[in-house]
Amino acid sequence: MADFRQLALDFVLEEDEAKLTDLAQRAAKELETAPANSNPVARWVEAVQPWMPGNETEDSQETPDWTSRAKALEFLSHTLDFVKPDLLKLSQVKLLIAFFGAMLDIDHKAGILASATALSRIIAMKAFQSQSGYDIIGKVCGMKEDFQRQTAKTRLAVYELLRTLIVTPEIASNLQQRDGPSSTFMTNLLELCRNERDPDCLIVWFDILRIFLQQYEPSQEVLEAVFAAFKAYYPITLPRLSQSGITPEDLKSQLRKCFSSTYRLASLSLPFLIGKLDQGDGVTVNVKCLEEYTNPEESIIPYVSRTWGSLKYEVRNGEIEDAIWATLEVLKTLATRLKGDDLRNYTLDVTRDCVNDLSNPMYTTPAGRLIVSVLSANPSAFVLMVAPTITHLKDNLRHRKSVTHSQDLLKILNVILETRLLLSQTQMTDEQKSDFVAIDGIFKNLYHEVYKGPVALGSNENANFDDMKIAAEAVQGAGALVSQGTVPLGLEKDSGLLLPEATSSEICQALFAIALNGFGNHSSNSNSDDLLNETAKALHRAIQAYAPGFRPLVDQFVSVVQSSRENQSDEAAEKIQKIGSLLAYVGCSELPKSLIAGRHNFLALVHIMTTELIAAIDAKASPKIWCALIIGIQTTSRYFNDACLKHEPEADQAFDGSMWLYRVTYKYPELRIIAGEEDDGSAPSYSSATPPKEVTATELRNDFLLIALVVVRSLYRRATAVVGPIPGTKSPALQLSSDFDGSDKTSEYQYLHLVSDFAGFVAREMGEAQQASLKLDHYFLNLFQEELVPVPPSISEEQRKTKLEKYTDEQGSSWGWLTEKTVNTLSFGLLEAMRPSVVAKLFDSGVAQELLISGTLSASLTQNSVTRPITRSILTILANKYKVESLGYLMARLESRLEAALKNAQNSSDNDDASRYLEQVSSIYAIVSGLIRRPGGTQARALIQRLRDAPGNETTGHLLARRLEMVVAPQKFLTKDSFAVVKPLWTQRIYFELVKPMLDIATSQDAEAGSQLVKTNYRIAVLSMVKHMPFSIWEDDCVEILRVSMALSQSLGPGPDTLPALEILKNILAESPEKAQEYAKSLIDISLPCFSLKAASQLTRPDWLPSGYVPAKMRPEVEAECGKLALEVVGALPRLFESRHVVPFVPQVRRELSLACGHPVRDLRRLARMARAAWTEIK
Amino acid sequence: MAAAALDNANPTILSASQLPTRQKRSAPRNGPDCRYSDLIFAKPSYMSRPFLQDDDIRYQDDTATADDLSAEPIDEQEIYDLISSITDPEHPVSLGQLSVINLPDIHITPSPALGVPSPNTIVQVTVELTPTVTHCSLATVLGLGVRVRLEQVLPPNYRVEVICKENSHSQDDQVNKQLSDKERVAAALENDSLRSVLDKMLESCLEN
Repeated sequence: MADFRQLALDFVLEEDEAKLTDLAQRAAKELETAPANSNPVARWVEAVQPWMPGNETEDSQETPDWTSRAKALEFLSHTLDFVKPDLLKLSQVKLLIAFFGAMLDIDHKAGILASATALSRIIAMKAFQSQSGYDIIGKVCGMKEDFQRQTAKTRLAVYELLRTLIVTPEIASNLQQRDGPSSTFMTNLLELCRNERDPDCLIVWFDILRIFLQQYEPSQEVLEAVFAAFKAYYPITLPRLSQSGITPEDLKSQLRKCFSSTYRLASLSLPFLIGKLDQGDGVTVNVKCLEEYTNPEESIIPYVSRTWGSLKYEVRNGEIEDAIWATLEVLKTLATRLKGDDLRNYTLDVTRDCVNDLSNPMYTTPAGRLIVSVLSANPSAFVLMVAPTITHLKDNLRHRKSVTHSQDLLKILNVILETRLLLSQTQMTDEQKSDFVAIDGIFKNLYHEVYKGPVALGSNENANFDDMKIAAEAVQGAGALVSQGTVPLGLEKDSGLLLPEATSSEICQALFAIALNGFGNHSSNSNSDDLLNETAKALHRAIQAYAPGFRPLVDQFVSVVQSSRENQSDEAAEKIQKIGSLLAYVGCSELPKSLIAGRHNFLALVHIMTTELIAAIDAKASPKIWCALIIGIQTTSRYFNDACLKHEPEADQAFDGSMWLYRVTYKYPELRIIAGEEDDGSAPSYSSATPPKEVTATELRNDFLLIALVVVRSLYRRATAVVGPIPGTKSPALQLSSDFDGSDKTSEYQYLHLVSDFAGFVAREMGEAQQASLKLDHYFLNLFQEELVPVPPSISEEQRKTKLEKYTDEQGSSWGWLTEKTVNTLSFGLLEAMRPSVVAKLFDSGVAQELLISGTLSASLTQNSVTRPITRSILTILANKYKVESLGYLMARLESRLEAALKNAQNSSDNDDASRYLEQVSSIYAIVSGLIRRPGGTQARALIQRLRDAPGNETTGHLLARRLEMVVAPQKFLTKDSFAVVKPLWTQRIYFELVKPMLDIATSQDAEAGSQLVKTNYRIAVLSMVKHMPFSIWEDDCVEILRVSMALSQSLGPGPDTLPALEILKNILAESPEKAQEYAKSLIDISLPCFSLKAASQLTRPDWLPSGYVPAKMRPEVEAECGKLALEVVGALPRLFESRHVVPFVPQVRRELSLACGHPVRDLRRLARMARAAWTEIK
Repeated sequence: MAAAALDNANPTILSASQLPTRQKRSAPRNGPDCRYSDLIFAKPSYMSRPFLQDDDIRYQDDTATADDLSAEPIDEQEIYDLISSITDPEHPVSLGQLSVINLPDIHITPSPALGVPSPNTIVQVTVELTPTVTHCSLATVLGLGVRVRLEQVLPPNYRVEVICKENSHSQDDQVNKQLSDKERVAAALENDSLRSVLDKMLESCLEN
């Protein structure tokens, strides 16, 4: 049997929280297990006797040890935490209540906290009798003034105890029984707690008051006393030094709950709060009260007009936006609580007070906000207020005072329309519905009465600044008007459109007229942009609601396109492109409820655009118009694709491969003419040939992909033509068709790119199975000319090897035209979007291997600056999407080619020869750039080794070094979006394998590592690669790279090689300026010449630099770019460096910067001024 | 300065969008129908360095960047942009918005139309101020502000002259005299309280 005295002593002496709990648990266990006859409860209570008052036997004059006594009592209360609720008998509970009650009475220094906690536990005991609750409250009240002297923690425990008491149902009913409505106990409590200031305690105290008001039925006097108790705290804030976790918002919300606890408070709280509107969160409290008070007849209605009368000025004359919003919220809430005549009177008051303000431009907006806040409360308020409001709005629009006045009035009208739209979708009773329908007439005429004129301003060619502002407001209303629906009465299910069809279609036409006018207009400013944007949104909305409005717009578009064939101006092409994009957005950016209608819009638009495009090509219209149309097609497809994706279709369902074209043209006969089949002469219907039934999102999306592929196919076929068999072979080849006559090369080229980009988009949207089922690899090889170009079969690995061995440069590849001639733009688009598994099939037939070898050679022979970069991109993609590193025979071939090309480049005396071999080397670099991003790509060590050694050559090293940039530069077609195979951390790998060894040579002090010239080559190589790598990768070598950058800039001066150096310097200054601090002088020395106005010829370069190392003539953009970076570097120094590092250079730099303020390039002048200001501030 | 009595308590203020700006190609409209424009008009990635080594072919948007980097002399509009953002000492709006500074009242000789002047050519910039009221007591402070600003940002071969526009001020000859007197300008800048007023006015001119 454990000794309670010992446990108590241990508890008093112990500090550690875990051990205290353990001791309490042991005591609780002992209470439960000890035999009843040993009277454990009495022994347990007596255990604390030594610390109790009146027991200080030895030296009673000494101050009692309050801490120990409190600890001893805590032993008791803590033990109770672990005692089962049914353990204590009634008599024991009574004993404990008496004991702890007495503590509350007599021990105001040490006993309160423990007693309050203990009593809270005892209340939960089974044997607790509810009438004891009253006694406990009595004891608590007995503390009187001593209560305020307790610490906040102790008071909190007491408040918790009180709260537990008044919420426990049995105790509560006992309390009510005893005191009745006079609630004496509460009066005593109010007296006890009246000066509470601690936030934690207040939270509980307010809660007690709220519960009391809600659950007890106190007399009016008590109600008033309680109200007086909490209203004194209003408006509440948190003491500045408060340590508790309570936020001011917690306190406010708790106090708010007191105000809104019962409707009986209304007569006290509403006048009080209205009087305090300017203080605290009066308005929010009001909302709370208005929302929560039951019994509105008694609580709210008497105060309606008073509330309105006081609050309207808050909005009318108020300036603080938050307060205005809160006030509007109150007024709206008020309307939701009223019914019948009360609501009628209220809305009448509001309408009467506000409509007069509508004629005063100063108060139009506040009046509108007040009206809208009340009429948006519910359909009844809306019905009561909308007619007089609209009448006044119309009146005032006729007699507008200013442009802003018109705008404000229109805005109010727009918001009313939006409100109607929202309310018409709410649940209404039949009576409300018929009331709602009764006022429909007002809206039906609104377009002709109000909007027509202002909307027409927008399509006026001579519209001025103000007209456009008004029109921008009006179009929004017009759009909202079309989308208004009727409220179905009785048994009707579907709601129709409110406006008659003629009006809806008139609105669509009027809106489109603005776009037609705006897009034709070349001068653009922010106002016309605003108008066009709003018009686009409104038109989109209108067409979403009124689908038949779309077709006439498309017809108008067609006539614009057709008329442009005569007028082949750039403006015409721009207009076509913009209207095309607008129609794409209006018709296809969102699927209507009926998915079929959505497909109809898409099909109609894409069909029209494609046939018009083909017609434009036939008519030999300007390629700029071709571009405009293909942009329209792609925009439409992208909008529609995204709209489909929002409906979450299932992805990647394989297509019916060989039959896809037949099936899709059978399903959509209008595509036949696009697909090049015979036209049956019937007008396109744009609905599928199979009977119209609802489609699923998946079917819709898959059909979309195939429809788009039909368009791609026809454009590809149109763009290519066959050239007889390649000499010496039987294989045919394709070239650009005769449509591309070179009259406007740039646009033709852009058109090809756009077509290829569209093909890429469509293919990229397909899943792996879809690409495979369509045999996309075949289309890559024949560019959709299936009947002209046969696709080679798969062959075994051995055969492929032999085939490649037989390949000779003299003979070339029979597929060379595909990647090396002008059609390569088209093949690139498809390849870029192909999944690796589909690309692998190109390797199965051995074609890709041939292309890789022949592509590296062609760069030097036949290609021009347009085709060459595309060929290289194709090589990169092929090397990236297939495991070429595992094809030993191919790698060996590439290595020997690289080696030969490097050697030839070095040895050739002729400049042309040398540059030819350089082009070959560059093409192999392109292959490496794809390869090294693959996992396992670094296996191609032999190639990487040769790359690393290339800059070591004195004659060609610098040229090769510059081209190494190609290996690491980011490319769109090497991202995951284009299904490229990119290993994480590949940059780190390449840094260590390729860059780091070069950096070592570049920074080496050793003469054996290479001559100055060779080191400079390596510096160029390092910087052109590091430029594309994030700082974190080369952070450890930051200082070396900093030195390399400075050394290079110093020896070469401003120019293309210094550009990456300056970029890197800027990067280092941004990331880790402290590392550059000691190089301030060098940084300034290399930067100043970059923006100096002195002629470049005055620069002296070191003697060891051969002539021609740096291109003699610098391109102006390189020069400007160098200057820009240098100015940014110099301008940043005063901010980044301690002043002692920059002060010595102030006179020199200021002089140069003041000269640079007269730099011929405007942007440089701007930077120079900023840098100059920064250097002027140095004291 | 007595802030209590404003010389012109209620001046006409233009909104920022109504001020003349450089007639460069404004940012393209970015409406709901332009969501994919950037994507579709993007220059193909092979069309730029490093895959493209030659410089002889251009894509459609290349011309725009080239324009920004070509040589353009400092013209009236640039001077206007430099000083129109100075804050009025009385009102929290700029001198441009108050029409104290107007584009047609800025003159540069030799004319910028002749091309970028060499750094050794002396260029004269004359700015005529139009005070909001003819009795404006702050005209000299305004002039001083404009002068200080231009001297801070123009290269050394530019000479600045600030005068009141003819008949725009009841004592314009006196104001002009003060503004063109180098000694008096230098002395004024030594005055701490005047200096702090000027600093306040020029705060809003910081470029970003």
